[in-house]
Amino acid sequence: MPANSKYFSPRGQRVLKITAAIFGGYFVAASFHFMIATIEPIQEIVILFSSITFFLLWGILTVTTFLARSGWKIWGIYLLLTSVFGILTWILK
Amino acid sequence: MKLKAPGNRAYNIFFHLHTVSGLIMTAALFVIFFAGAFTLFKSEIFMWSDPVARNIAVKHIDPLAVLEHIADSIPDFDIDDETAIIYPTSSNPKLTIHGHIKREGEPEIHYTREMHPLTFEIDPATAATIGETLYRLHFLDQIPLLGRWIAGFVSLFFILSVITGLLVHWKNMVNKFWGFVTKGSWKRIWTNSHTVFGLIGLPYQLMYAVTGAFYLLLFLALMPMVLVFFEGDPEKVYGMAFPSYQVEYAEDAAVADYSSHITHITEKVQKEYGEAFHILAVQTRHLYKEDGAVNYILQSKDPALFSSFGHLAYRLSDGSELYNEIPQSTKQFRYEIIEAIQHLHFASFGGVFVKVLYFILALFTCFVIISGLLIWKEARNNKRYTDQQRRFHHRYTMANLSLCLGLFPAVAVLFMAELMVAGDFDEPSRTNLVFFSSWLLFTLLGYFLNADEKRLTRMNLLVGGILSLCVALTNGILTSDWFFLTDTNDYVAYTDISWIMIGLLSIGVGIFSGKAKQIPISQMKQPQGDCK
Repeated sequence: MPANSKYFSPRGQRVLKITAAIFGGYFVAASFHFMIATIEPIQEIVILFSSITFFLLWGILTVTTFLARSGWKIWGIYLLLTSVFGILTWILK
Repeated sequence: MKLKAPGNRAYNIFFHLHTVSGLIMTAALFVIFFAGAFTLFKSEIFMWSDPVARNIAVKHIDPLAVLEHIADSIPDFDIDDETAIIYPTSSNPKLTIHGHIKREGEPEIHYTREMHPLTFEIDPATAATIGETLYRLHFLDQIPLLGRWIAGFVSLFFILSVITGLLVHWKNMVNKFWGFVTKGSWKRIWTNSHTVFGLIGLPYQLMYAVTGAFYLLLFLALMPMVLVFFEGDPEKVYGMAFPSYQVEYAEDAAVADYSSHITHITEKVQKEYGEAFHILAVQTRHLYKEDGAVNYILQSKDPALFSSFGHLAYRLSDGSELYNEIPQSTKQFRYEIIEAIQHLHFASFGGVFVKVLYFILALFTCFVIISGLLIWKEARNNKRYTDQQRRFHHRYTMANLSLCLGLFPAVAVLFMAELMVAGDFDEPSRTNLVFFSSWLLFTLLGYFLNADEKRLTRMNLLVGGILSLCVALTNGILTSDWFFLTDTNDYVAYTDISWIMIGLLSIGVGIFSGKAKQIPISQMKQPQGDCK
């Protein structure tokens, strides 16, 4: 039995969600790792482990993106998270 | 035992994501896993593909003599730049040289060649190509410019497929894990085995999704880190993972020749560590400069050791030790992380048993990919869809399936072509031409000659099976190294025997599947909660 289509998004929303999954997910994954990597004592371990965790987080974010009801909202959330992580990186660094 | 299911909306979204991502990636993922499965044995099949290499008996390697020969015989070779000699192994008796060619006013070229360990004769571009062709195919490198990026994003979205697949079956996961069904309709068996093999293979598949993304998209993860924390100097990050990047070299170092010290440094390394380790590679930089250094990568002889690489380096001028990272004694944890990714991805731990296990799991994964495509089609083969839609579903399935399954006989052709074509012309590009055109031919034949998926699969199993047997035959006839003769090299004999086993198995399955009755979907009972 195929998935029930009443839960799918219209085309415009779909474009927003796919771009949010790929680009938004990337921005969040990158800025999150920046923030963690500012903690000096574990910086090296964070960067080395990011070779695994970066892609794992990015992959998970591509899934969670599609749970959002609005493509605009999820883009907004991802941009907000990116800027929060970015500002924290800038302060802590 | 049942776990809490995701809500209705979430469930349908996960299901749809799983379907769509799987459908788009079917062919690419299949090719990556199928070619990758053979690539696991890249070094083991080396002697099979290069008959010259079968009779080389290596005794002793003198790195200095090799380096001097390279510097003298290869025009414009920059011997002061990073140069590495990969040592012979039991499966590959040739040396591999990595270095740089530098010409005035031209960008530097990376240089990789294989070299005869005794005569120092350097092979043309790539003398043997099977391993190389399949290795490059497994990240779609033959597609110009875009290939690696496509493979990289396929890896990323494979993470999505694996996670959504897991979530779709979350509720019945525990029951389904043990619920392998061999009775009932074929469609039931397909859906069931998609779930069961998907679940059993899940850790393996997730590992490959992540490490595959690491190798192909590393640039995207690393570049911003390097810009933010290391002023755009990636060597600082490489230095965290590989100690050789930490050695400092002055750009204006004076010219000085301490190169002869390599010989006794190497002897010292052999004497001190030779019992527990063998040398994988020797790497030099600034060979003819005052601050030149030699680096050694060692591998433990203990097959039970996972993190088996050791690293040593010495300054050439005074033999002083620059770093010493020996597993289970001096090696720091930081060097084990990226190494672990490498061991996991290339199955370079635990010996040939692990490789065979990986090979079988890769073929299971191919099966999961194909059965997913078939389930997609069969679930839509009913009156809720127009005839036009159903014809499209059929064409899409057949096109993907003929491309995927056609790769099997084509790989057998690649093996035969290596000995037949390259033997005559010494020209790997012709071998590749034969491989890719036979793949195209099998794809077209598969698509246009067969009415349904079952016949298509059967055709490829039978043709591929017969060609697999011909692989061993070709080797026997052309090189006289028959697999049953005792003086035939083990690696060559085992390659032949593996092909015979693959051949017999697929012919067997082909004949058996021809006899199995197929129940039309309309007469099937829909098992409750099976697809849902």
